[in-house]
Amino acid sequence: MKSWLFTSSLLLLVLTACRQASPHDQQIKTLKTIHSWAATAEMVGEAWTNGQIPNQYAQQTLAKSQAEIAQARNEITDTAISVQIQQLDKVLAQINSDIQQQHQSAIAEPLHQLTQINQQLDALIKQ
Amino acid sequence: MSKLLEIALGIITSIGGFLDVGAIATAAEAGSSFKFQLIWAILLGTVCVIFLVEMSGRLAAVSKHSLASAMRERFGFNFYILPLVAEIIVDFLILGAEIGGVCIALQLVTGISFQWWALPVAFTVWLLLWKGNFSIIENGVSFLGLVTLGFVVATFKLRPDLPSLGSGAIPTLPQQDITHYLFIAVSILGALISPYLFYFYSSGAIEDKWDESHLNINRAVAGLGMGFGSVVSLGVLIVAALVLNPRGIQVDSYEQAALILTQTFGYWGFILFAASLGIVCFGAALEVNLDTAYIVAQAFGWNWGENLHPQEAARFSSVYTIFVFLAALLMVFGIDPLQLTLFSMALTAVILPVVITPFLVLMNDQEYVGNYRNGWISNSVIIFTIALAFVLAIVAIPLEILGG
Amino acid sequence: MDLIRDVLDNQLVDRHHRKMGKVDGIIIELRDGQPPRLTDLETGATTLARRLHPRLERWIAALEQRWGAKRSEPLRIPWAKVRQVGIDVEVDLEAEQTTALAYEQWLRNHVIRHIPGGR
Repeated sequence: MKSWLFTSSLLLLVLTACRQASPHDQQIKTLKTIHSWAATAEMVGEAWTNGQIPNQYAQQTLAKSQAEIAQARNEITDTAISVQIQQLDKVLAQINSDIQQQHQSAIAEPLHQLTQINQQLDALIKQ
Repeated sequence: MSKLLEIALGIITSIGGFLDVGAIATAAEAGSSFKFQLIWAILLGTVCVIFLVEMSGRLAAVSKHSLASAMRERFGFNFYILPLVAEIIVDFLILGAEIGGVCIALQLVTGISFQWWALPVAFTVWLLLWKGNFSIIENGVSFLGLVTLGFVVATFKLRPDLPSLGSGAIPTLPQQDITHYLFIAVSILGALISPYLFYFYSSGAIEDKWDESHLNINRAVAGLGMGFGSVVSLGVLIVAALVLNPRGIQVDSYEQAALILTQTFGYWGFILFAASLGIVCFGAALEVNLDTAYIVAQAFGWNWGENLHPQEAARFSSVYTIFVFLAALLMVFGIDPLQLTLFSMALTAVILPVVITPFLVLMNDQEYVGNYRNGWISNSVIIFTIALAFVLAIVAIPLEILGG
Repeated sequence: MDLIRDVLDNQLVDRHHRKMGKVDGIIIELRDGQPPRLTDLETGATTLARRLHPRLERWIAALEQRWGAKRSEPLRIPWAKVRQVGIDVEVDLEAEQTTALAYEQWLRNHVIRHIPGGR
């Protein structure tokens, strides 16, 4: 029982270790991270609009999303995607400044753009 | 009637004992990344923990010796030094992570960075241990842990699809991210089968002066209490799967997990998450810190007990005083709390074999448990758990490197 | 009675069941032509450290001579003082009067009592 589990898990490890290395998978992984943080920012924006979260938390989390996305962007080699992520960064900065200035109405526009970018990212990942 | 009350109280407190920063973080990460696919890991961990907690309590009630003392006496100090040192290291990291959990909760609500909260939180933990007694620690704080039932309420409000929940109860491998999946599975098991719980629970049974007449209470508390704790963990997983996963949010940070209740409860959902995280981690920080003092004092035969005045157990109280502030430094230096949590859970998995294997011997030794030795069911579960512990110990670090 | 299993490393308690350390060592006298005789029990950090590694013993001894109660000598308890051997080993002594609690007392008097609420 023990040895069976041991060998199978070891085998699994070796198999997956080989699989992880491919650059395509790496790209997908990075895109997932970016998408995850962009989606976080979107959810923060929505929740803030509905008055469901404190201002400070919203700003901190947006700043964190921007930082994480900026870090992940360095790993992206595809220029088309890189441009898109630059766009994403701008939108996030816009949302953050709207929250800072308490522009309840102004936030709808960048939030809408963010939703679109997120859909595109999602499509890219699922490709 | 008073027995029933004692059972009810025991169940409530063990919900608090079961849940900690690791249980919440791993469940949120599992649900957000793999939907319901890791439900089996929580169920498996719960079964193991129920049996091990029951045994720790039975050992203490019958032999009047805590698990740590019994291990030292039965196997000698030269063996016991291994689990002792391993457990102190793991406790140190986990205590840092629990303090981090409280700090993050405070950061969510106040906006003041978690690093600033580390020392005030450590001081509060220390003050409660210094001034309080065991029943305050056990009952007072864990009673507050009932706020975590918010996750269960949210689960019902979100109406998860039952067949797909059920399919998560059977282990299957995902299409992609297999290493990450296995890493989280190991972390969940490491978070649930946490050694400090067994040491703490058996020392607690001695603080509460348990004897053979408490064996039924022990069984009920272990089974139902841990069971309820597990239901809350499942609640976290399911809510994360229903709220975060469809949006593509994978929990890499507590800020992301903080959003899981806002969809259901609005602003109060945010507060409820922060309160749950803060209270659960605070309770666990008390337990982990106390646990370290227990195992060190018991290793050397010092006088120990949270019900004693600090000066009656000077070395014991010195240990928890120094330890909590040292662990808080991890947060002062700004180590990411979630990463620290996941790392400590993986490390817990590494030390499991040396902690769990002695159960098999102790729970069958007539000198210790007399006529209350393990039956074949308990022995089968413990043998299975030992095998599982060895597998986890071997795969934990490679998985941490590859998929963490 | 099995000395290693039932005595060594077991909890040492005084006549009032006050915990006073554990049995860190056992002293056996070897006699010519006669069976060996159990004479004393020992309790103390240096005895314990010696069982792990001789170097560790020297470190602990050096540390204990410089710091705190400044006592590195283990306490020897004559076997005749042993009252009972169960899971605990009970001896006919007053723990507070022995050097077994030297560090406990030192910490109590020099540290714990000076912290508010510690008295």
